Amino acid sequence: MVVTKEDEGYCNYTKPIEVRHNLTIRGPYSGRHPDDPVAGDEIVIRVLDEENEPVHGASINVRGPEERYLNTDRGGGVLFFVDEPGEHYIEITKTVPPYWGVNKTMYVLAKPVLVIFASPEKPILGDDITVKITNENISDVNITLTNPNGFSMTLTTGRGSEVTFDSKLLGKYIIRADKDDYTSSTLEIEVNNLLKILTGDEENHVMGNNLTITVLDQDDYPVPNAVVTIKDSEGKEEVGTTDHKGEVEFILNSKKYKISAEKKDFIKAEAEITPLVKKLSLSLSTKKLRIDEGSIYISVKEDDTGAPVPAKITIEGERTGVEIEETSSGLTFTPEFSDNYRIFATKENYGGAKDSFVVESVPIGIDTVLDKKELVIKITTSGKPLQAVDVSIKTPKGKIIESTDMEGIVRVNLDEEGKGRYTVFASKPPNYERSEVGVEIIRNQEYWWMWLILIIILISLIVVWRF
Amino acid sequence: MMPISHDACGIYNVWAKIVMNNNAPYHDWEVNVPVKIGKNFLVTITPEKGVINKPVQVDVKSDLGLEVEYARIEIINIYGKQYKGGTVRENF
Repeated sequence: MVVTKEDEGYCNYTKPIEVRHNLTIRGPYSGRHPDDPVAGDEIVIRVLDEENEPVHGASINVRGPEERYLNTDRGGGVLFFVDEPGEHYIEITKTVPPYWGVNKTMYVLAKPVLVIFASPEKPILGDDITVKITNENISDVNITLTNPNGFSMTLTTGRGSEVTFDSKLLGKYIIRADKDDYTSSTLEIEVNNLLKILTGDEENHVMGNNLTITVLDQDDYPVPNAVVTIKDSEGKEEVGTTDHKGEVEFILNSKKYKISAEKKDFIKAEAEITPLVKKLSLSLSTKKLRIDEGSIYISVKEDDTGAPVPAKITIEGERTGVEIEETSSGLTFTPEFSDNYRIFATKENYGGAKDSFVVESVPIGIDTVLDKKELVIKITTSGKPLQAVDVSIKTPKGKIIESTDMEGIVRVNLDEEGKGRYTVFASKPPNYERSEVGVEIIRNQEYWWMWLILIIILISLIVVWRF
Repeated sequence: MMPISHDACGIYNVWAKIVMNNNAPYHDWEVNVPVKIGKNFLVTITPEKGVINKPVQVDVKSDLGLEVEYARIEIINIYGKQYKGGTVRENF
């Protein structure tokens, strides 16, 4: 095209104009139109020209999740199937004679997947197995069952959504569900026998006892050669195999066990037991005695039954560090020292016990007598003299430390130590209590010169009076 | 700048001499450049993608958007000139 104007100074205008035929596209349509097509649907596209006449030989190129290169037939139509869901881009062209190209898009929905649910999930041989398709408002689903021997049969859910069959063989059953417009799905279920674990009366689940585990099948028949594992709370495992009676025995050494029984073609069984822990109790003939009062009897019993039970008895002196160990159900303890004592009773597989008792020390008596020039200190206990008692005397001139003799006596020379206050301490650890006595000594001989002066004064008075 | 008048579209050589003052630090300048002079048509074609046997409308305006009377429109294809016309004409 050329546009010109001779005057007024216009420049010439030249532009090519391209003229082609027009394409009118009907589609892409599926049988669900106006709804979007679903994967697997057949799609139709019709191509017409500007006069609504079919265009033969137009190229239809489909791109996206899948590709198709097609040409329209004499009726201007094309048919194809879409298998993949997602956005498809369609390019429609024809070059001879020239047509303006057209692009279209088509969204293909995915087919819903059939959801299979089998009940029970772990079927036992002989159980009726119900297969249910859980998609909403679904019916007429074909269910194909393949048994462990490889034989298949097909059932239909009819107007409902479930079928039921009985399991006659051990092993894997394959369940397949098919329906138009849905994606098929499969489910495998395994038909097994059942294992039961019997552990006997709970009263016998006691630490240190033997535990007999019996393994039975679903009909309560004993299962031989089942592998039984018991695992304690620390993860330590013991494994045993059942005998012809379905029994296996273990010793209980832990406070908690997880038990499992396994065998091929059987569903693994699990159980848990918590063995009782017996407790010890201590019994003392007394909780308090004096060192000179003799012995204490200590006995160990089972807490719940009260039956004597041999256990390790440990006696510890708090202050003296005395430690005695003996394994017995009872012992007589004669303390050598006064102290606070702790007692422990322990035994394997038993809860321990502890107690305490006190052995008190003996009081010491201090008597003091003035004997001429000596202070006689006598140490006694319960009225009897006590030998080898450390006696500390604080005198006016210093300090004396002596031990009592056979008669419990210590003597102090008053001439040497002088008059004044004497304080006497007596102690004999650890069994005798420390005692203290104070004495005030005023010695007579200290005043002889006063008597002499008095006599002189008297004589002087008599002489004065005479003369 | 002095306006330059013209009476036809074309490319003209324009010679200019720029004379500096006496005290200018540089020399005088001389310029000789080709300049395109003329008005442009503003042409609208509807539709842009022409279809066989369908009318195509061509509107011609000045580059200021004013109607241009008596502009000559020639449509030429492989067979020669198919149309010559004025402001508004129908296809043939």
